[in-house]
Amino acid sequence: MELDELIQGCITENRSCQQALFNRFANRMMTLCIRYCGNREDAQDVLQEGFIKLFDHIGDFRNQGPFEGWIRRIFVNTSLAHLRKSHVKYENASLDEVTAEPEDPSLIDHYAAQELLELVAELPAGYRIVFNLFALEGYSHKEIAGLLKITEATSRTQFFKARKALRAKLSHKEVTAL
Amino acid sequence: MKTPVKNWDEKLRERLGELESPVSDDLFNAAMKKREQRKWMVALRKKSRGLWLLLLLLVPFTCTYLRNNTTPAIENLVNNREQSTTDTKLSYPTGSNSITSINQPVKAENSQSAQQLNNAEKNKVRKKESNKQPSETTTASQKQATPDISNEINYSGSFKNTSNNSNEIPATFATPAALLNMMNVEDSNSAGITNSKTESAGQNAEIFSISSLPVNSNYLYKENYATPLKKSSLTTPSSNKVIDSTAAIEISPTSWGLHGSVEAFFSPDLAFQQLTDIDGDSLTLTNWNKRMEKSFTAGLRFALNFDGGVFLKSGITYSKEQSSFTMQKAWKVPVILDSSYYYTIWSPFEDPLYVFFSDTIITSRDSMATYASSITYSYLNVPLLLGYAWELNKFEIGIQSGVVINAKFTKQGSSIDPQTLEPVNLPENSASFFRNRASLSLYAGVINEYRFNKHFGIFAEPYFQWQLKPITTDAAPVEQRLHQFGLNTGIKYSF
Repeated sequence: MELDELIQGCITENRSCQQALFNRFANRMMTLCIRYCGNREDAQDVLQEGFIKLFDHIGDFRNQGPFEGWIRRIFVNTSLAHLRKSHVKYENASLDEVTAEPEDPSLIDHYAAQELLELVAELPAGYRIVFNLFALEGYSHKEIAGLLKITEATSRTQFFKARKALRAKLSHKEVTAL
Repeated sequence: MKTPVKNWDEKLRERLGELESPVSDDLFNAAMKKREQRKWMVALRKKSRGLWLLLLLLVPFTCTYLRNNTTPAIENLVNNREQSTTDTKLSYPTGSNSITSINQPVKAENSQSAQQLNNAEKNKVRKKESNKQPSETTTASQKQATPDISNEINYSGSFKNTSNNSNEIPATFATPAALLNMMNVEDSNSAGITNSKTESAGQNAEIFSISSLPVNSNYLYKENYATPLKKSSLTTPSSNKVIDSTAAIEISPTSWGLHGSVEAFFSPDLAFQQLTDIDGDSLTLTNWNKRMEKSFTAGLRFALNFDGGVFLKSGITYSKEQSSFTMQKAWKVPVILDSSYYYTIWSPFEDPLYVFFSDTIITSRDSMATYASSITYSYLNVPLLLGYAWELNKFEIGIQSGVVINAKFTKQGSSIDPQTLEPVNLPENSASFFRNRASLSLYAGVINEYRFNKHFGIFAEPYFQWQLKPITTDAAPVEQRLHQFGLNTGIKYSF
């Protein structure tokens, strides 16, 4: 079934269309939720909540952009709302403390996607959220600062620290594998 | 020679973007079930809101009805008590409790037939008494035992604690049997009730005395004064159970002073908006210009007054508020410049040396636009207020505060769609960024009233209403709260 038909079916509360839409996007959105939440249990709660919101507001989608992008935004916002409840702390460090070091992108090729997901999920909550928003969703630091009610500088330092921690994890894993 | 490669983040994004984490179908069913439950709860909340509204509106009417229907009974009780203690000039044994009762002809529609019935009953009693030993005293159960007592004959009276006159408790009973029921005893002899007859003020009076009546306690009132008894409600003489079918109500000397008021008012309001840039998505407000607009409120409120000037007030109000603002949005579009290279340095003497350089330059370009929003909001509210008032001759001054619950909220005009960031017309497109209902508001006002007479007065009440939560959802580009100053002016009817 075409995506447009599925959307129309969901607007008219057609259960089979809702099921089909769920089947089409749930797995990818689950990955997104795990990236933000850090564990599968919380991610399932967020996924459930996100699909409830999606079915409630699917009538608001106006075909002015990709549907998946719209869905992603719902799930990112739902994940952030869920994480806000756990009062994540963002350490504020000066940019001087964080030095951008050159990175080897080929390092990533050595790992399976599932392993990368686990490494991202293992990051501390503050690092993980900013890293996801900046590196994987493409938000600017200004936007992240507004979303998370932190300063731009904090967002930047969180991101660099996250990247550093992730690189350390990747390197460590590579060494132990050898 | 350099070989451009993909950015670290991009690569990670690509790899994770492809990844799918399997989810069971149960999760879909659970989500749908949860959604249904929420819908059901929302529907229930909406329905119960209507019910609460109805109940709130019914409270003042119920109070008025109760007051109108119980006051005559209370007045009768007092009159009857006074009559029984003055006209009959009864004497009571010191330090004990006594009960008095005066038989009175009932106020039947046909007074002639009532009189005839009364005479007939008197004759029957006399006939009975002549068959027995001549005595002034008969038991209550014997009186009740009169087989063909007419349903138009009524007994009423009052009883009191004569050991301490300051603690008198007025009440009436229809017949001796009703009195027995009040005390939860079956037999008048075992309860120690004695009965005597006397003539006073042209009336045939009976006295029912008891020595074990509890002091300073409330009693159940079983029959309206001078209300005809129904034949169907009479019991057999032997059972001595309840003889009337009217509902029992508890009498307490202080619980009947129900007073209140109804007020209709209109207020020219000054609404002002509190706008907060929530910086959602890619929108940033750098400048806005908001205007205070004229608004109004009209409504109807009911008050229930308690002792000491305290009152509870509720009702329904309709408000219309105009809000408009212009804003300039400026947002940055992120531009990520990739600058990762491999350099290969060739040497004639050594193996080639591979050097990796990587740098990510993140920059952005600015975009800006100006939008205007102009919306008229309509509210249907239910205030719940608690207040205190002082009376100063013809004036009344008071304070009141509480909460204002929103029952209905509509909006009309144009605003900005948070998704497309384009102006949209309301209410057609408001679903995603305005709440269905406005939040609870806090209310505080000062009452200034002038009374023309006991019932009518006019008042002016400056007030302030503060909205606790925004009327917009998290998806809206700008968080909006609308507070208002106003001056309620209107008329008040007190009862």
